[in-house]
Amino acid sequence: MAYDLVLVAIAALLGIVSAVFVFLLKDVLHSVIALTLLFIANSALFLILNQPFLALLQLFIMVGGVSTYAFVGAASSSYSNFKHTNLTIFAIAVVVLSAVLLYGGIRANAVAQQQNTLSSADVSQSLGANMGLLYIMAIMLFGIALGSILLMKKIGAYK
Amino acid sequence: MIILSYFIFISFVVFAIGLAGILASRHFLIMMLSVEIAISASTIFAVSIFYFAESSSTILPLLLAIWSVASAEVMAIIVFYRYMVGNEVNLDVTKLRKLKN
Repeated sequence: MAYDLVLVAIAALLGIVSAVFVFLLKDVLHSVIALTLLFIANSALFLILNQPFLALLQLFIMVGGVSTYAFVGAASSSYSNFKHTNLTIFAIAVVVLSAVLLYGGIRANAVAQQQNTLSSADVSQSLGANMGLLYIMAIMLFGIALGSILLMKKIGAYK
Repeated sequence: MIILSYFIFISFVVFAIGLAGILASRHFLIMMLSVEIAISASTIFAVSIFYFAESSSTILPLLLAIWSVASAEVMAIIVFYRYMVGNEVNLDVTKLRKLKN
């Protein structure tokens, strides 16, 4: 019991700290590495939730694919070292937005206890009905992204 | 015992960090990375809700859709980043007027 909580706490701490470090670090390459750590923490959270397949997919897609691409993309260009984030505004915004979101979550939970809301079975059923559409959407988005890269190469956007 | 509230709390905090990053940052790439952080928070939220609500077998298409949006966004931003750096466009969005120098 306590073991699970410790694992959740470690993964959550890693995720939150690495998300904050994306903005604290000056070099964008280091920010991309911090983002990769956030994805790894996400994967650990999926593993704690007893979803090893999803954790593996998260590692493959987000860490292996997306982060590597972002890393290579950021590393292949010149570094920009200007102070990119106003940390005072950032800290205030994090506190205010967290408070608003958590209050909204607590409020929604209180309302859900009083009323009939959308059940999990309804959500599963509707997702299952639209499964084909979601797959097509995923494939289309990949196609659009790859197409945009080819188009940029064609018009000579790269130097 | 793992409680759903912990995961909702984590996802909300990470989402808030992502949103705050969009508000507070001036760098083009960092702003886009903060969108990635918000997307990543949404995956934590989705998986935890489905884990605690019911079997998570139906979450996979939704997660694939989320991951594809995230991947497509990263591909697009890296293309734009390379283009902007190559054409010596200022990466500070407050000084950005047009996509060429």
